[in-house]
This record gives sequence, structure tokens and C-alpha cells, in this order.
Amino acid sequence: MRKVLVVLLAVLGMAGLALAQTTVRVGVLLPISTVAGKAALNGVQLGVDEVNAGGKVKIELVVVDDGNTPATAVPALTKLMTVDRVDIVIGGLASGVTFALSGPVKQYNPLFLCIGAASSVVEQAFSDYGRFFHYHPWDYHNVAAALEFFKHLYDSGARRVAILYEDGPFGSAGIQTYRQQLERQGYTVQAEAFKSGSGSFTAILTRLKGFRPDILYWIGYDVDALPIAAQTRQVGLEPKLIYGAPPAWPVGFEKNTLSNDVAGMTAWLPSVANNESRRFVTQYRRKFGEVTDEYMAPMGYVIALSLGKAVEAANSADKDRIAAELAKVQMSTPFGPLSFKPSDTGRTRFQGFNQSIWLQFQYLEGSRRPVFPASRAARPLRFPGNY
Amino acid sequence: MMLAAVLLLLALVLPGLPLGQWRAFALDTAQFAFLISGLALAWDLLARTGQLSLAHGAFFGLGAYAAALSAPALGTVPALLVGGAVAALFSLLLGLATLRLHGMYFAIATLAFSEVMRTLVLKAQFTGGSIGLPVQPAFGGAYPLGGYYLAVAVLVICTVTSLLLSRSRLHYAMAATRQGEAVARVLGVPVVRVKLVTFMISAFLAGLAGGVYAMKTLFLSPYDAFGLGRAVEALVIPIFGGLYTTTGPLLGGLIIVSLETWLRLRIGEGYLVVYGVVLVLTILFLPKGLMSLFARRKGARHA
Repeated sequence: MRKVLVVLLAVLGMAGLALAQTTVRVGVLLPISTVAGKAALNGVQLGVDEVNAGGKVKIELVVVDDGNTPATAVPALTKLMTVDRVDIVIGGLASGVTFALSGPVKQYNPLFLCIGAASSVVEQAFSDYGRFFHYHPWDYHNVAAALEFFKHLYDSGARRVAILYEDGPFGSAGIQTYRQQLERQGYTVQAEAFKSGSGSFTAILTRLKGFRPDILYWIGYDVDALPIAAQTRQVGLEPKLIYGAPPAWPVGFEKNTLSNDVAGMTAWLPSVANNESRRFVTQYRRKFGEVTDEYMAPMGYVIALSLGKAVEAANSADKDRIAAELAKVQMSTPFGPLSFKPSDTGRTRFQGFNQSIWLQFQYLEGSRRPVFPASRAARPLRFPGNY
Repeated sequence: MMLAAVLLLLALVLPGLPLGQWRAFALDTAQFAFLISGLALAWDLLARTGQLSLAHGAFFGLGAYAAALSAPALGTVPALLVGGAVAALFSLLLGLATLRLHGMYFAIATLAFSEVMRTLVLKAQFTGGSIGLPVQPAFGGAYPLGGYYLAVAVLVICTVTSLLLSRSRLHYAMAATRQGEAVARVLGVPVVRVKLVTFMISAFLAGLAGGVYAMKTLFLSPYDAFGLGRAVEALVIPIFGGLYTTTGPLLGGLIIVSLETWLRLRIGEGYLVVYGVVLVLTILFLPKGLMSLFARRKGARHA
């Protein structure tokens, strides 16, 4: 009889838990065949696992690939909205794709939690949409963070910057603004365009020898990292710093000695010393067997956790009640504190992070180490570097 | 011919079919598939003269940009025509300079043209440069199915043009040019003029498809509009469906775009493996594309 009572109580307890649990279906729309997209998806799944383990909220994910192109992303979002009938979407990594999604998003009105899309064009496109939560900093935040670092380098004696930028939307965007801002800081600037992936930089680098740059600043893709590092040495350019700004660095770059002293910018590294970052790293390693350097992984994780908090506070699957609670969220994250405020331009109402999350790193002894700003540096910047 | 008619009829009635919750998704996918099929049909027209173009991605992009820029002043349909006309004008300039080249030399020249166009659009201020260009929806978004039927219209125009050309005197001149240019010239075929006219018609159709594409995606960037991927798509589809035919590129485009979308939904990042295997198997066992299946069946029936 006693055993029966215990079983009955256990069943009732579980039923009660199930009744108290709020279930939401969330669409995830990412370019999952890219390094950043895959990292973002892993982060979202890790965060959802943590939320679901809490027992009060259950998040069910429906994952679709946006193909990194509007022609795939628009039908994929339409499927999430009409077939899977989700009310909440996590996605929007590339700016061009996210812009193309702005029309269908406004048509179907989901709560849209935007993981990337730094371009101000996207900010403008969503300016009249009240269910748009943008976690990633905008492009003007990125520029501000980089310029702060260049000011520090100027104070350390750098005077001449050679900018190599890939001749595409990524590399060319804002190049004139960068140039003007650097000149305003006192730098002499020489900018040269290159074709990403060509592997041949000798001619440009040789031409730059006459300019004798203190900083070689390249804006391109991961495939350009090694050729630039190698050929800079081959032509004897000898800058004081090689500073790269690709969206993702080549896998295993840190194992190559050519990466020594090369610097760059990121929003997060596994070595970032705060409790949330350490917890994220531990759990990520437990689930996936290794740790990624891609900051899109903790970004996805933060989005899932903040959504879980909002759903729990709303105690409802209604997207407007969840949005209202998300607007009030204040939480610690691997990037630092998160809360939503109107963007700097005032165009969008719910902006998560700003330039304060960016940090500068340097490849030192086989791994990326935070070197700037001083408050977040794990090691002093090696300037001049040995190239 | 019959298959093409059935496919076009299906495209017209698709919005009225009982597709349930899949309706909106099917219409989105179909719209992109129609536009890419239209581009493939346009590419195939020039291929009938023996010229391998890698400029059709650029014509698609030029049409997209021209339509997007002129739509606010002219309205949707005139803007689309402007898009086609701009693409045709550029094909005239390119054709005058390059149509005496053959094989890979012509292909490389057209590839260079695409790169030049991408760079110009990237550097120009009025195109939005590297930041990209927001685009108005078709008819200002007033008709929910407006964009869809524009895509159907583009597909119909491309199909009808292809059919008419395959029944015209120009068709024989095109085939003769492809099979032996020197012989054709001796027989009195104005080879360069034939290629030039075909190139312009083909570019006009590609530009038309690009214009509707822009009004669907609502945003253009030089990278997306002038990427090599679209040029490759334009030639892979006719090879998959069946070169020098009307139904081949039409069928190939609908199958390839739908298959790609479906595979992405079902197996995510592994889709490229299946997609690649399907293409390789088709080329290995059906070197003349899917249309050879129908030819074989017809042959068997006649035997």
C-alpha cells in the first residue's frame, strides 16, 4: 500500500511539473554549412538543453538552413511560419540575407531574435518592427572598437597604416570611413584592394615596402590569413603589427608558427575569465568534445538562455508576453552583462550588446590571447611583433 | 512540348491547389525555381550557337539592379522591361567585342565581363556599392501573388521565346553555327550576326528574370547579384535537363531548385553530398540530360 502511495505521489508530482512547464516551439534559421552558422547552432542547442533541464520551460527547436542566400532563406522562413507554425525565430546571421528576410518577417510577425546582421542597412529595415531583438553589435560599434585599439597603437608609436581590403562587400564596406577616422587619429594611410582567395599578395606587399607601414591591417577572409602572413615575411615588409579582420580565422591557424604575434578582433574567446564564460566552455566541451573559438557559439547560447528566462517570467507561450519579458531581461553572459536598450541611432528598440564586448587578441604561443582593452587583457600586447 | 505545356499550366494553377499549410512555402520555392529556370532557358539559347557564356549571371544581376533602380520612377512592369533592355544593351557591347572568340576563350572573356560588372556596381554610389541596395516589392506589395505571377510570366516568355526560336529560320542558322562555323559561313550564314542577335535575346530574358528576382528578395548586393554561382547555375541546369531543348532547362530548373530546397530542409548541411551525387549520376548515365529519357522512350515506342 505504501509503495502504491509513493508511486502515485511520484506520478502526480511529474504531472504537476508537466502542467507547470511552458512549451514553446522555436525556429532556428542559420547558414548551418558555414563555420559560424554551425557554431551558432551548437550554442543554441547547448542553451536550450540547459533551459529544458531546468524543468520550468521546454523549448523545442525546428532547425532550417538559410543557405546564406535569400533564394533559400525566404522559403525556409516561410516554411517555419506556415508549416511548422513557430512564433519565435532565432536567426539572421548574414546581413544581406537578414535584409531579405525583413519583408517576410513583417508579413508573419514572429518574435525575431537576431544573432548577427551587423549592417546598419538591416537596422533601418527593421526600424518599424517591434518584435525585433538584435543581440549582435551594429557595424558602427565594430568600427568604434577597432578605432579604440588603433588609438592605443598610435599612443604606442605607430604612425603609418597599410590597409589591404578584399574587393567585395565585406572588405569594401566602410573602407573610406575607416580611412578618414584613422587619418583623424593622426595616421598616414595607404589602402590597397585585393581579390580574396587569390593567394598572391607579393606585388602589393612589395609596393607597400616603400610606404614602410607600422601596421599591416588586412580585411578579408580566412583563406587570406596564411598567404598574407607568409608573403609579408618573404618580401621583408617588417611591420610592427599584422592586424587581421576576417569574419572567421582558418581552422588550425594557431598551430602554424606564421600566426605568431598576428592580432585580430573578436567578441569572445574560450580563455575569457568570467564565470559564465567558464561555465559555457565546460558545458560546450562536455557536449561536443571540444571548444570552439567562434564567438557565434556563445552568442547562440546567450540567445537561448535569455529566451528561456523570458518564457519562464511570462509563464506563457504567447509571443507578445515573452517579448515584454525579454525586454526586461538582465543577465550575465560570457560577453558581459546583457540588457536591451534602444540602439544608438534610435532606429530599433531592442539592442543587446554594443562595442564593449569586442576585444583584441593576439596569437601568442599557439593560441589566441586577449590583449586589449587592458581591463580584459590576459597578456600584454607584443608590439612590435616579431614577423 | 507537351511536358512544357503541362509544367506551365501547373505553375499557373499552383496557388489554387489544395496545398494546405505548405502553400506559402511551395509558392516561394516555385517562384525562385521559375526565375532560375528562366535564366537557364536564356543561357541555353546562346548555347545553341555553340557559345559557352559565363556572363549570364551578370546579365541577371544587371537586370536586377536596373529594375530595382528604375522601379520607383517607372513602376513594376516598365522597370522590368528596362532591366531586360539594359542587360541586352550590355550584351550587344560585349558581343561586338567577343563573339568572334570560341570555346574557352569566349567563356573566359564573359567571366571577365562578370568581374568587371561586379567591380563597377561595387564602386558606384548610385547602386549602394558594397552596402547593398534595398528594393521595392513588385507593385509596391499591393498584390500578394503579384510577384509570383510575374515569375510565371517570365517563365512563359522564356519558354515561348525558346519554342519560337526552335521553329524559326534562325534556329537552323544557330545549329549550323554550332556544328561548323566555317562551313556555315561558306554557306552564307551571317555567323557573327546570328550569335549577336541570339546573345541579345538571351541577355534580355536573363535581365527580365533578374528584375523579378530583385523584387522578391528586396535586397541586392554585388556579391549576390554578380557571383559566379549564378552563372554556374545557369549552365548546370540545361546540362542536367537537356541541352538545346526547351523542356530540358525548364524541367531541369524546376527539379534542381526544388531538390536543393527540399534536401536542405531534410538533411541540412549534408545536402550538397546528395545533390552532387545526383548531378554526377545524371551526367554519367544521361549525358544528354533528362530529356534523353523521353527520347529513349519515344525511340522504343517507334521501334
